[in-house]
Amino acid sequence: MSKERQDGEASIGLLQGTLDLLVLRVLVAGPLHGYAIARRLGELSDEWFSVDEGSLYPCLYRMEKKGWIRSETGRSENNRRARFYSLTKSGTERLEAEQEGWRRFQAAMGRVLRRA
Amino acid sequence: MPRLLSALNEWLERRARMREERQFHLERASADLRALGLTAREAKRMARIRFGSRRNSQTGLRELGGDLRGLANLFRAHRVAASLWFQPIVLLAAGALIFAVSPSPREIAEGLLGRTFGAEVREAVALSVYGAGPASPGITLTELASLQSMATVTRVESFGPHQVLAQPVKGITLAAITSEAVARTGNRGFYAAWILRQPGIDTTAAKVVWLLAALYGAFFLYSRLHRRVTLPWLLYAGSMAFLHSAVSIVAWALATQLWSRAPWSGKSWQTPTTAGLSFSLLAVICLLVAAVQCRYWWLDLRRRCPVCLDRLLLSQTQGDASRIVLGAAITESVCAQGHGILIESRWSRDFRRGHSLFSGPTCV
Repeated sequence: MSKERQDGEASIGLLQGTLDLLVLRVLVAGPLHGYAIARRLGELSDEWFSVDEGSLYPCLYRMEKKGWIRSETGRSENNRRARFYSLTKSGTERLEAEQEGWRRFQAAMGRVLRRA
Repeated sequence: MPRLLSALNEWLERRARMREERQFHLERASADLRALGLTAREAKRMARIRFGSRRNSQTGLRELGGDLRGLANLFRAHRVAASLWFQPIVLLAAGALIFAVSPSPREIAEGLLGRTFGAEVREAVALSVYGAGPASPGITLTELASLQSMATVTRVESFGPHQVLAQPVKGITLAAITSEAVARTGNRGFYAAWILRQPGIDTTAAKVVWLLAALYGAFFLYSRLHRRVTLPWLLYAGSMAFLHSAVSIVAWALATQLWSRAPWSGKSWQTPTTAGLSFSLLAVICLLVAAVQCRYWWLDLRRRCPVCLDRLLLSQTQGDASRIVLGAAITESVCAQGHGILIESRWSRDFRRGHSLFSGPTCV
């Protein structure tokens, strides 16, 4: 699923399961609410990833159920009530494991592409 | 009741959370887009497009447990079905639903409570002869033919040897019908009387069900339960029997209403045979519904603690079903409030008060 960006190049759809890794990585910096997570993902990827912002929330709820993140109500920058998500200890461990898995995946892809 | 309310409350909170987060996200997104120069309307529209389809919200609700499956899981987690109030609430809701879908709920209420409101309806006219009895000759065929040609009534039908039934013309009086009947037949003994229809439902068969259900409950309560029957048990059993029976009667009333409005019912009721068959069918259905209710109610009662009426938990079977004599299988269930343990076998049923899993002969 790709979309045309302003510069004419196609953006890339996320591989299934990678959204968890990206959200966990974004939350390392500190608690954020859902919209801030979506904006941060867009900024860090230079809008390369095409993902519906609404699909972030099922991912957040799933990770909260698994105990990787926790949520609490707070006040946003414009003093509105919002729910902030932050990493838990098991979430940090999960992030490290996912990052290690991604590094191995990258290395394997690179080997195939170089040798093929 | 508290369990049901807390489960519902938690479910509604989850849905509210999803709704609030979505709302917050869309507002922030449209504010950012307005800051880039879009109009308010365009910003809102763009924010909604970027948020994605409704499927995201539905998936989010599912993950959060805010959908119907989540509600069922919450009911299970809060043990709503084990609550004492669950069955009465379901029965009352079923009764209210039947009232709501009934074509004439007022008639059901009148059938249940008696005729407290509504006027009598003049449905038909009966033409009889004074002094008619077993020894009198009755209405002759000639007189019947004369009555059938009357102008003040229509649809004249014979109803036994001494009476005919007819439909009066609108606005006609009894005196006018009587005088025409006398004039046409030449028999001064003829007189007319109104047949009145009482609004309401014939609940005779349902009341029989009611009585049977009450007798069933009373008999088995006395003969099968622990001999020291406590007052809460009696009150609970009595109220359940009443509710089950009331729902049966209301269901019967609805069934007769729907039957009377069916396209074929007019013809079906014309002959005694088909009317009897239809009535029998409805009665059998009503009895089956009542029997299922009674069985469910009885099984539910047997699974409750006799002290607090909370449902017994953690059923565990010991022994071997093949060793009927020396090591018969027994099942132990525990009251969560610590009132005792129920020990059941194929032949006996004993609730040991004051025993828990950590004391007494069952302790390891």
